[in-house]
Amino acid sequence: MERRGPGPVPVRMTVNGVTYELTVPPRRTLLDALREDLGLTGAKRVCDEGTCGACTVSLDGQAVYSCLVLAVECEGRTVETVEGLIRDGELHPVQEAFIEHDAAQCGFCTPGQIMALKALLDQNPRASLEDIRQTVAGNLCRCGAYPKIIAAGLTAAGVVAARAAAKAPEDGGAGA
Amino acid sequence: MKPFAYTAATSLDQAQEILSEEWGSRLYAGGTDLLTLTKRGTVSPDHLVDIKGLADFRYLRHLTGGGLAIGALTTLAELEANRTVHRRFPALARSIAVTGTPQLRNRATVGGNLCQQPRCWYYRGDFPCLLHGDEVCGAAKGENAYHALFGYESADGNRCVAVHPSDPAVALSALEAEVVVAVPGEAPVNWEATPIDDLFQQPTKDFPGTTILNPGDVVVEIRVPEQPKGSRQVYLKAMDRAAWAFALVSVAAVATLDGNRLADLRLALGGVAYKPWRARHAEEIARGHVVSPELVDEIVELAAEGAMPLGANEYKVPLLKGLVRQALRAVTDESRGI
Ligand SMILES: Cc1cc2nc3c(=O)[nH]c(=O)nc-3n(C[C@H](O)[C@H](O)[C@H](O)COP(=O)(O)OP(=O)(O)OC[C@H]3O[C@@H](n4cnc5c(N)ncnc54)[C@H](O)[C@@H]3O)c2cc1C
Ligand code: FES
Ligand code: FES
Repeated sequence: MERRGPGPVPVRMTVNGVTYELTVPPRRTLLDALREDLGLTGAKRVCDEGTCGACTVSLDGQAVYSCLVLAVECEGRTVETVEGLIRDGELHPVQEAFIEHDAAQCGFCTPGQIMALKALLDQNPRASLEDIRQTVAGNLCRCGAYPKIIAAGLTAAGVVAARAAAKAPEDGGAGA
Repeated sequence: MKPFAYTAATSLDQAQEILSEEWGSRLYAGGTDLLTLTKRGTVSPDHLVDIKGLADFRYLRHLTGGGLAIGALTTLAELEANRTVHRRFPALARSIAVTGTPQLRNRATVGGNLCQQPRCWYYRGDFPCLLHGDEVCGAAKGENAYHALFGYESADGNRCVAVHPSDPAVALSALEAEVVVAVPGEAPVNWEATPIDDLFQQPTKDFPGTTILNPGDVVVEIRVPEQPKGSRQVYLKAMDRAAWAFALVSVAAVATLDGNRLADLRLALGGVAYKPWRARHAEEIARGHVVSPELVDEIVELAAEGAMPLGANEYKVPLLKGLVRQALRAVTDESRGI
């Protein structure tokens, strides 16, 4: 690719299933592009330097700190934010579990926690307690809601694992 | 952040050409270190040259003779998930698992991890620092709780007392890994492999860099040699909280036992110098001796030999000794009574 910028340049990326053509300077972070250009304020801007996790989104299926990604790097890539988790009016199992366990206090870290756990369960539908603990180790909750966050993670893991198990026989052709 | 241009490099040659010829251009990999520095204005590049897309440098390959070659653009998460790394290089696997967080490891490359800048607040803030081109290292006589015990020669301020922040580098040092550096204009056959410890240099006023790399030089591969048969490895890291913190002190140990005898011991210390600090004297004394409580005491003392606490980091000396003792216990047999 050629040199782009420093002025605004076009960037095409898919966010929550919709493809956008943004015009952003290379110094714009993915976080700022989501919040300022697309009005998606679920990902929070707190530390802006990789030390809190409130900006966690999924980039091509992996949890990343969107404050440490440039929007120009996302050309042709797929981003998912907490706003995109709802499907046909139904919340994602991680979201359901957060409500069930009342896993938010002030709620500021919540979208990041949810996106981190969602990425984990996408990659590993049979995530263990230890996997969940390791995952939320990248998301600071200054209210200290971890016990409930981890409980919610476990509940969600159970739901996702059950769904995967229910689906497996079909996939394997051995269910009938 | 100051405005900058951005190029997604399509070849190493293209990247090296820009980096060696264009003043203000800077190599960009995972960005997890560089963006934090750019946001604070500690570095102000005019042009970021992104090499992440160069798939040729993202691999894990077995070397003839049993070692492992790691492409420098491999992410820490990819290394962490690799079974060979877990099975054959558990110290490396552990050092990666305790590096930052899952989100950081998904982005951070192993090459970028080795070339990251110090986590010194004088450097990252607006304080006197040799890396800023200032006359003195402010930390030498200032707030130095997280700074060096070794390798800085004198605390007169002419020497940088920051420590290298990388965990993987410490494990790689104990594993005697080498790094392959691509020099602009050189054909790949001429790329040289350097022992990992020699990648790092202590910044001075005249040479304010933390590595020996010149503009355009790119770390392209890390080679981890096969370890002695039956050797045992460990990586231990002391932090001021249980996760998401840089090492106060860390220890990587690789030991080969021949019955009761320590045929070979390698001890690399992290968080205490501008590079992974090999406790060479301790290693020498250990070699060929029967493991005993006395030998362990001696190794522990020698590992801290020559430590020069700066004022606020004296606590690192007992921490280091305790960690070395634990590491020795882990790599030798507990039944030997140490
Ligand atoms: C909150 C936080 C906590 C962290 N905790 C830890 C920790 O506990 N342990 C630890 O080890 N690290 C830790 N890190 C550091 C992290 O591991 C590094 O930022 C990361 O590994 C750098 O890799 P990168 O690919 O993102 O590099 P970049 O940010 O892209 O680059 C870093 C530097 O290296 C240069 N560079 C990159 N690749 C190459 C190459 N191949 N050849 C030559 N030069 C190159 C760049 O020009 C730049 O100067 C932490 C970082 C953050 C933000
Ligand atoms: S805002 Fe990105 S990690 Fe804090
Ligand atoms: S709920 Fe307040 S920070 Fe987590």
